[in-house]
Amino acid sequence: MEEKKAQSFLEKLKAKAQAQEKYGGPVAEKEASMGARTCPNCGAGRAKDDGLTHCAYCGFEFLQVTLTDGLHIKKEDNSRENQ
Amino acid sequence: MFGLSGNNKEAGDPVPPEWTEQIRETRERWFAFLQKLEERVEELCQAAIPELKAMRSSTDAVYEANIGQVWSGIRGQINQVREKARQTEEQKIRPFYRRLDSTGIAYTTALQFSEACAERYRRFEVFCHNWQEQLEAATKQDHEALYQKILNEHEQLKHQFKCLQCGAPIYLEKIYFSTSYLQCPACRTQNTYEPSTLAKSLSWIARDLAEERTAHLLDAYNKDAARNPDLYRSYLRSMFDEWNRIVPDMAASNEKFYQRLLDDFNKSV
Amino acid sequence: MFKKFLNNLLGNEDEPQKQQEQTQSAFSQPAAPHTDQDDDDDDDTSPIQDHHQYQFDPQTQHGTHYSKAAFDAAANQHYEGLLADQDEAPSENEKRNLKREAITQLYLQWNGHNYDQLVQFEMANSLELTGYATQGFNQVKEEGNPLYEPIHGISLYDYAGIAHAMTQGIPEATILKAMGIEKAVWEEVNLLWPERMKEDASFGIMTKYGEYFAIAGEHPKLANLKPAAATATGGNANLEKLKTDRYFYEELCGARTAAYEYGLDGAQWILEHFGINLSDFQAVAMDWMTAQNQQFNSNEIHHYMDYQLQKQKEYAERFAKEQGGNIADDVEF
Repeated sequence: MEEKKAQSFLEKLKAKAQAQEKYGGPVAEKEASMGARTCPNCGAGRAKDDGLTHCAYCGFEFLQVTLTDGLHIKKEDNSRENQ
Repeated sequence: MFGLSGNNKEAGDPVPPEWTEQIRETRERWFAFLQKLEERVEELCQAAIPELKAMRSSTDAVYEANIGQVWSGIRGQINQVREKARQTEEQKIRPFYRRLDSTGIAYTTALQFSEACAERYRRFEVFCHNWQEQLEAATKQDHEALYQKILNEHEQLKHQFKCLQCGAPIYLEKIYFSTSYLQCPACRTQNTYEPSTLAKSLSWIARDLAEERTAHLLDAYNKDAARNPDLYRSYLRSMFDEWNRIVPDMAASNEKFYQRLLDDFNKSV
Repeated sequence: MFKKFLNNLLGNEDEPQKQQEQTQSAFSQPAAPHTDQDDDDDDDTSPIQDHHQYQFDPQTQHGTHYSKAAFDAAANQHYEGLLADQDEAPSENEKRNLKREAITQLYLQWNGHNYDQLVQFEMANSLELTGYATQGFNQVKEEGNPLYEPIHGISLYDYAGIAHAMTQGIPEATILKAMGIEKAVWEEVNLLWPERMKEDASFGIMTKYGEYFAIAGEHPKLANLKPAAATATGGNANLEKLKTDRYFYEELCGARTAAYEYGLDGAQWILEHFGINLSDFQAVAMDWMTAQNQQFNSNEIHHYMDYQLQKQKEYAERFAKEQGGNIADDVEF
């Protein structure tokens, strides 16, 4: 195979890769962002001191799990009344 | 390599000339065949390596699936060539050797034929393996460059975010690589910070980076004639120290992994 | 007094006849209870056949014609002998290998040199023999083991369920909502379960994860979620066939490997051509692997491996044709 043949083989390979859809779709690269969630039930904000799992005002359940000691989230982040 | 044996008579009958000719021909055909296969592999890889490098540098994407697919396709071709060699060895070389062996002619001659063919086959395999390694190096992500991009992004972003409730600035005091709850220092509202795809990649490149940065220590252990276990232990400690420096948040669980690897190693010496 | 103590220790006080085995050499085989003597005087030209029909305990895979205590004692004796023969002080791993050697040699002696049965015995007891867990033998005890405690309320089964759903193509937000967690919680969970796996030298968590992945489609909180149209496999006859027809499963494994070798995304290719998503495929693969482990038969395994290779070759030829041949098709010997 001359060099030209190798080159055309490669081109076909590249075209084939580009043409085929990827399993699970393309990976969308996202910028960093900040968000905040208010209580969908009463509209109150969420303060760290009140814990992450429940709304401090109406008791709405933000998280249906009991938090453990993880990377940044700690046991103390469970809302107190619901621990 | 051939005809060096001086004691053919002891090992079997002298080799008739027609066999000598057949042996020579088969061996030469096998050598030429492998050389042609090697040329094809080399041509493909020489064309592919700059192409793969260009594909890698042409994109800023953290995940680039097309490179992986092209690389896989080239690897597939090399495997296909290797399979062709394997089949030919099985169908042409070995049966010829068996015939040779059963004719009762000098067994050292048959053995020499077989060893020469096997040695050439091994060189072919090493040749393919070396190209595979070069292909891998060409597709590899530059972890240091990626890390530098993450550091730059952090510098640029760390003062940029504000609390969604009260608008007070929320300072990013470190590189977050997973979505995290951040508290507003002014109104104490819990905000949710989601790092970029780039920053999230830090958790999985950290080990590669640490291994690359301490590779010379692992090398020192591997090259040590006595295989001094302390050299390996010192490499492992340094690698984890480096890893922890890159992602301090993972240090606690990294240390557990370190302990496991150290225990595994200690059991082997 | 001493005898009673020994019997208690070995757990065989009700079996006085076993006591004798303790004093015999490790390699004297216990009598097989199910000997099926051929009393006929017909012209049976076959060589002496082993008519022993051994029965095996489904849990331990030990023969039922001896007690485990007797086996362990004999294996220990043999191991001590092997250990005494060592010139240099062995490492922990070398000791473990010697022990394994002692046990497997003895097992073959006592159970009729059945190598498939030996593999099954080794898999059932792999934690003890090699330090690694094997899928399909219930070796992992989750209860009371801190390594298996849920992370932020997400158990290992939940984790497998979420991974299964994501690989099916169900949007992340839908899955997290169904599990009652937010992204910040999930991303910590997704970092920390793999950390637990790395910490676990026995690979028990990974083994258990594989077992859970096979049944992850039934997760109570996730089973009703529908994958995006592109990866939907509901009512797919091919998926049913994959579960029941081993040849079809082997064919698709071969096809997928061939697709990757020809520069295609193999998982996507299977989805496009057979409508089976990677998640369902891997869950079925876990089932076939478990079944294979539990009924280990080397002939059968080779048969299926050959079949898969044959199919891989056929698909490779097809892909090669589509790309205009391979780089060395014209090189002849």
